[in-house]
Amino acid sequence: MPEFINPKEIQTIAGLELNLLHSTNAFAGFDLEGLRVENGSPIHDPNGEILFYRLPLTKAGGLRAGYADVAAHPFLGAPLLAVAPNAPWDEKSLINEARHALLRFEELHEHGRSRHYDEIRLVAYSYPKLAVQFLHSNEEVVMLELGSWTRVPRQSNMERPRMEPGNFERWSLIEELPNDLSRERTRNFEERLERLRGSDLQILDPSLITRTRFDSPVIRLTDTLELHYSTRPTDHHACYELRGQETSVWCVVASVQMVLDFYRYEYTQSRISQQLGLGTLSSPSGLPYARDNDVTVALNVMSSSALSSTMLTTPPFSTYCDEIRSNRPLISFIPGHSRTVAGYTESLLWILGGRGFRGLLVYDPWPPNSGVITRWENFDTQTYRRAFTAAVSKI
Amino acid sequence: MRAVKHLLENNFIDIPERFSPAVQDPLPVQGPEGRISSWIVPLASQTELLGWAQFSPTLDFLRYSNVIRDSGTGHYPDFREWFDPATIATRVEITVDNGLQTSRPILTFDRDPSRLVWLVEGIDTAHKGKRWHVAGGNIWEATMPDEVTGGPPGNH
Repeated sequence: MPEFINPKEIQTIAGLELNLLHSTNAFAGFDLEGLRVENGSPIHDPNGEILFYRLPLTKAGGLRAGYADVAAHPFLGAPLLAVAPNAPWDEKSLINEARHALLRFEELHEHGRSRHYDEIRLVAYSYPKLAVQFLHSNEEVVMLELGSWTRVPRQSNMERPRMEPGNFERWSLIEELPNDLSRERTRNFEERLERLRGSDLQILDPSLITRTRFDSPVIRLTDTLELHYSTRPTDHHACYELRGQETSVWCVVASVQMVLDFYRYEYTQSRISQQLGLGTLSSPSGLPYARDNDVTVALNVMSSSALSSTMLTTPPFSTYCDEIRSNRPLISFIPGHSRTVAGYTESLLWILGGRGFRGLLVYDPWPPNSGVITRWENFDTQTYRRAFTAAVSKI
Repeated sequence: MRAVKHLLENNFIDIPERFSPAVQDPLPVQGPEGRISSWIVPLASQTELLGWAQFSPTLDFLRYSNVIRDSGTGHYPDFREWFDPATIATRVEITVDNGLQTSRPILTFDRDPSRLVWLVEGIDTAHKGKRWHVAGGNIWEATMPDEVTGGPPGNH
């Protein structure tokens, strides 16, 4: 069975997510300050795979306060699934209760005939509804719904459409999730996990939920970076300059100029326009979509082949991040316009399933002869056509 | 305006240190069909324009842009030259043709919503209808959007 998160990592992930949410007062009315995240109970899918873990939250002295659910399977889309700050979770006493319920069930329905079992599992029989499953030699003996202790029927109705189960029906989220949705959720889950694994919070004890750690300047709630003079972490100089387009149609020219300037190739916009075939100051023109690739040629030729440029179509946010981390600006084409990108920011906070803010630092040559520095452009609201990378390939 | 104040209070907007910006009244940006395509909320310090925030019609944050100080004078642009319709209309009349009769300028965009322009329509002395785009100190004849990054050849 594949393992998507190391079980040892679950407690850390829960602690990180809860600390981030707590820092923004996301739990109005519930004070999580000082709570601890304990080791959790695995909750299985009916197909046998572990779907998520339920982790108890405890107060000082071990008093139970609530619980958090953390995904173990990427089909759930995000590591933190749910938080119930006021609903204590005590697996041991629930399992004891389930054992007694099984005895009562046997007395009522099976004339006291006792069933043998060698394993007890918690199962999300109809996610997120839970049941207790009794097994013998890996085969189900009986499954009782948590709390009501009613027997959960074995057979699911296979005639019905996917993801449309009845009120009291056993079904597998892993097996019924449509392929396109499972792909999207896996991608989101892995992206989020990667961010959490890179979080500064990893250096502290994440099992303790407290706001005090956010007073420390080393803790970032966002992942933000912009172009600097070098990639050395101690370097403190932002290193990029804005050029306004010298005519109302020379946004491509000004964008190429900004990137070439960054690499210390100084050209006038008239000279760059000549290379791109975009006319003169008195008779300028824009770049037809069919000639987008001329930008890569211009960057290469005007750097005497030192720069190697690549044209990308509708690149994802991660492409911009990767380039900026390598200390390289990009040219960004949106419909009818060209600008350059010199930084990014991404919120590490995902409030209850919603994606955090993702922004680009855009050096925009518009309006003509001045330009603006846009800090930040909401990546999720803008249409991106192309991006052009430029990397030093020859010295 | 409340949204911009919130962004300012949370240091999301980058303002030069010596300025205490005032949030100006929001301005609707008209799309090609005359509908509101976004809202612009300028930030100014007395007469100087520092930047503007742009929001979608449903008030989703789109971007915040800082304008650049003139390296010669050390000043930021005059707020009226960028966002006062009367000042913009007068400039078009003076620059293009003294005998021009112009419409009230409309804040719109050229090709992409981030390329803000004022659209001024007018009838010249030869009774010919014309349309101009104005952005800051620049005025040019408006052209129709096409598949060209920047814009087509013409009188710029």
